Amino acid sequence: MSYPKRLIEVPDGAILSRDESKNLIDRVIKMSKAESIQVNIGGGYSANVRFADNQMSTAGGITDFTVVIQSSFGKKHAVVTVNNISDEALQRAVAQSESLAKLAPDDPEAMPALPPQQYTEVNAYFDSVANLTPSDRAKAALTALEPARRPGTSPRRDSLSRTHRRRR
Amino acid sequence: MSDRRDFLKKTGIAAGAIAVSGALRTAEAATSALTTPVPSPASVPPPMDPATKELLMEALNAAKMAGATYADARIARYRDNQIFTREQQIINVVDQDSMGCGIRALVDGTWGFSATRTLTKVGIAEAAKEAAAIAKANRVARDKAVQLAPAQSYPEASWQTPHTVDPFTVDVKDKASLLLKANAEALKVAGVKFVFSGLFFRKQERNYANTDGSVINQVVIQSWPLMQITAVAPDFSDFQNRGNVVAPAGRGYEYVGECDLVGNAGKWGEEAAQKLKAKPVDVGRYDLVLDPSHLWLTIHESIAHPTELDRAMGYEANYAGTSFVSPPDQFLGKFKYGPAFMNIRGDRSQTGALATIGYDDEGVKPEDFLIVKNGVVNDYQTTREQASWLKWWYDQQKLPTRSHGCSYADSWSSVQFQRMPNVSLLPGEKDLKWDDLIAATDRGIAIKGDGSFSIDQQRYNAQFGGQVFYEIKGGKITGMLKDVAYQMRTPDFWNAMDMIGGKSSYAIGGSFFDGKGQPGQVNAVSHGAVPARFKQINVINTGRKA
Repeated sequence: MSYPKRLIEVPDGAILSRDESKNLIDRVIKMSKAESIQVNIGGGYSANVRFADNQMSTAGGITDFTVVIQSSFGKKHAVVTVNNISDEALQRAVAQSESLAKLAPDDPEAMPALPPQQYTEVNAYFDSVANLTPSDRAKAALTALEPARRPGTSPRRDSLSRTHRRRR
Repeated sequence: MSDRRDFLKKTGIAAGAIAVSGALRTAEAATSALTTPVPSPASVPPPMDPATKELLMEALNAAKMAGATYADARIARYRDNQIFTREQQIINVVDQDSMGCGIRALVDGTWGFSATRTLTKVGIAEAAKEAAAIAKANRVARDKAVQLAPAQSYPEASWQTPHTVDPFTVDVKDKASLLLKANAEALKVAGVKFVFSGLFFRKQERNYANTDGSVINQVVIQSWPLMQITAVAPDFSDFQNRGNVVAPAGRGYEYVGECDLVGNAGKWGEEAAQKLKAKPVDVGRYDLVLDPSHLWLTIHESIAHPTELDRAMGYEANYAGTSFVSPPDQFLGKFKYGPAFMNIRGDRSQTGALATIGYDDEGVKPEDFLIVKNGVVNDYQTTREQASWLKWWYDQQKLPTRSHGCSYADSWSSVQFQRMPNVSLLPGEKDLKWDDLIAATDRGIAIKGDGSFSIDQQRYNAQFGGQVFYEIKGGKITGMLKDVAYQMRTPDFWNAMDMIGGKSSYAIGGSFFDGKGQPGQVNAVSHGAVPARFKQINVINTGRKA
């Protein structure tokens, strides 16, 4: 799987490498006292830009991920989600998923955990998206904003801008 | 010092695992605590820990160094706990726990936002720089500079939802056993075949600071017990639901006890079974008597949404659409929303309401305000940025231009923007009650509980169902109806209101899940109301087959 070596726009540590993910998952699995445990990690960096009334309103960049822990005892299982990867937090989440699983009713559709698998590599990482800068995003918004700002384009804007004008 | 582990310890979070916590209060104990008084709103959360404050200051300094003229930072932990059951089994338990820091920077009149889960000085400084960088990048697309209305600063403030039992200290087993007992009670009723029940809890530990000098910590707790009971006709020709039985609230676990699901489940089950035998409504015009448990939703959709200023100004069109109460200069002080005795108040102060808070997510201490005053549009819901859009109106009214404290973000990772406060229909002068309204009505329909609804994108044409419907004849309830929904045009409907209850009939309803924005955010909001009567409203039958 190809991962970026160093991304300028994405904050350091925002995207876990394959090894970092594997280490985190191994840490969680070691904490487990359940018959089986499944750990999913999802997240990374996401960015957005919004515009309305012919200008930018909000824009942001968010770095986060979640660790989803599912513990199973026979046909009973439960899931706990956490974004804190300190030892205490992970330990707490594992223990919690175990006690919730014991409480859960049997899932008639539960299947035993699969043995280790060989997964096909999926490369859904695109530098063209990851390397988009805030300025690229603003310019993309401008392609819609500029034509809309031309006089006579938007009757609604003319009426709304009265309120704007009055505040000046 | 100031790492995540520290934040955990200092805020006492490390001890919070729900299934292993020590001093548990059982569901039974909470049920018997019906008379527990709500603690005084003056109760405060533990003070902000120094490490968190240091991180907040780091965020503000880094944003200022990067060119921000204003910045604010939120370091917060958001927790969700939900349990759902049906009949005699648990179907799901959800436990979510997320913390991090969100930073907003204003550079040259343009906003930027960045959020990170990395709660270290370096992580937070980087996020602050990114927020400023995004703001600078957006400058090229700026039209008008953002102007923040003046706001007082609060250098050391705190607030918490008044509560006696933190729902996150209650063992999930106790939560489950309460629901299963309630389900069993409902299932005793003849005809009741299915029961769905659940408990939703939220806890938000919010730490906030801005470059105006405010440093605020708050703890918000919300609870919502829910049940939906389904009765099935013996010949399977019909089924009827009784749901939305109690309102969600800004309260602790003691509220679950007060709702007494076990004690009420039989009654709600009877209502579901009774609906099977109810008479299908004849279409036509009726006088409607609407209970607060129903009317809150009509207020939410047809008054609260269209008076969000960003919707009225065209900044928000997703989810709930824009607004017919637009442009503001043609409505403020001019538009007759309803009769002269109609007053609609925005507030974040009602004890037990979901949007109640000490300080909003930009550090403003909200004051109550009238959205509709004596029947006429008087104000909109605002943030600091938005309040300045209405300066002309406030000047004209000789009022200061200030935010109504409606800034809210549903997570540390979401940018704060205008969200709904509690929006409520205030009581009338005469202390009329539900029964007085029924007694005064010759031919009508009384509705309790909120049901399915549909409304257009400007909040102008709508249709509302309900949970239970009663026929009123000659001032008396004569029996139950089913398949009732009413149609309305917003101003026609509110202007048809001719009678409302007084103070003692005031009650609160609300929603845990009000959506807005992109990326979408969820807000929890309450609406208080008194029973009210609406003359000659068009009623349709939703059960008729083509």
